[in-house]
Amino acid sequence: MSAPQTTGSPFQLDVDRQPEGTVIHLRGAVTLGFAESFTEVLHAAVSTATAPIVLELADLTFINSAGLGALVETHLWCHDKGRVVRVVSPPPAIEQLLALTHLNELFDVHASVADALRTDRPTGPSGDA
Amino acid sequence: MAAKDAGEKRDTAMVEVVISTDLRAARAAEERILRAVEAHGYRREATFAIRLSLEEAITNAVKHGNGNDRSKHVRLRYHITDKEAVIYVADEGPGFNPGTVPDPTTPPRLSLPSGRGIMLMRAYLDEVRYNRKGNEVCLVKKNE
Repeated sequence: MSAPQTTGSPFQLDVDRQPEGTVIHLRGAVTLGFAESFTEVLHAAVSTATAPIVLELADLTFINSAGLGALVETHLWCHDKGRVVRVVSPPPAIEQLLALTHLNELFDVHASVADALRTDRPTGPSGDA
Repeated sequence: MAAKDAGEKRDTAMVEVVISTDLRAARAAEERILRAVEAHGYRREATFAIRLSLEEAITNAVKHGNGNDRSKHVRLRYHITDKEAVIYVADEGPGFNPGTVPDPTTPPRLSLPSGRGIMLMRAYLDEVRYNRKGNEVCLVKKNE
């Protein structure tokens, strides 16, 4: 399912509701002048999502500090609601950006969607997830 | 505005573009500068660094410098060569002291949605210089 997009938007959000949680795929670029619409679309997506909420960034080609701010706001909003947000598969350039800003310390970053969703599963008697 | 085709690989004189105080309107100028950068064979990482820093500088000029006042303008000047990209971003604001901007990477500022622009410019570029007044920044990225 695609979240409502802004016409001519350089980014796209696709929402994939799974039994274990919600995966939001971020694609394209969050560039000049689109941070506000990115915030609005992302907020609309997470407000109806079931936790854990996984932000999958593999196809995110660019994001500026205003876009990072939108991710921070979303993280804090979800945290206040008791919802877990995890970040998955940032490309090398985005991973470096998260490291330089130390936002990799704020966000829970995972290597894969499966890993991010698996973290919340109850552990069975044998210790298997 | 100087009439240079920034998509061509030419070591021209400084090109000047004046844009309105509007972030989306600035995208055309940004794309023009990035085409010039790519034409000079900058690596993908360097292009990313220039794009990010340019967006941060323009955003600061529009929001903080000109206070989103549409009657004011942002002036871009750039000179791209095979060796380095030099870009000036100037606003019509009163200026500021960049030395007083706090570190956004430590708590409690880590969880604030803004305040990372200058730190990112400094992290990604070879030089970030402000004029004495603090309303023009010079961005330098070497092509290495």
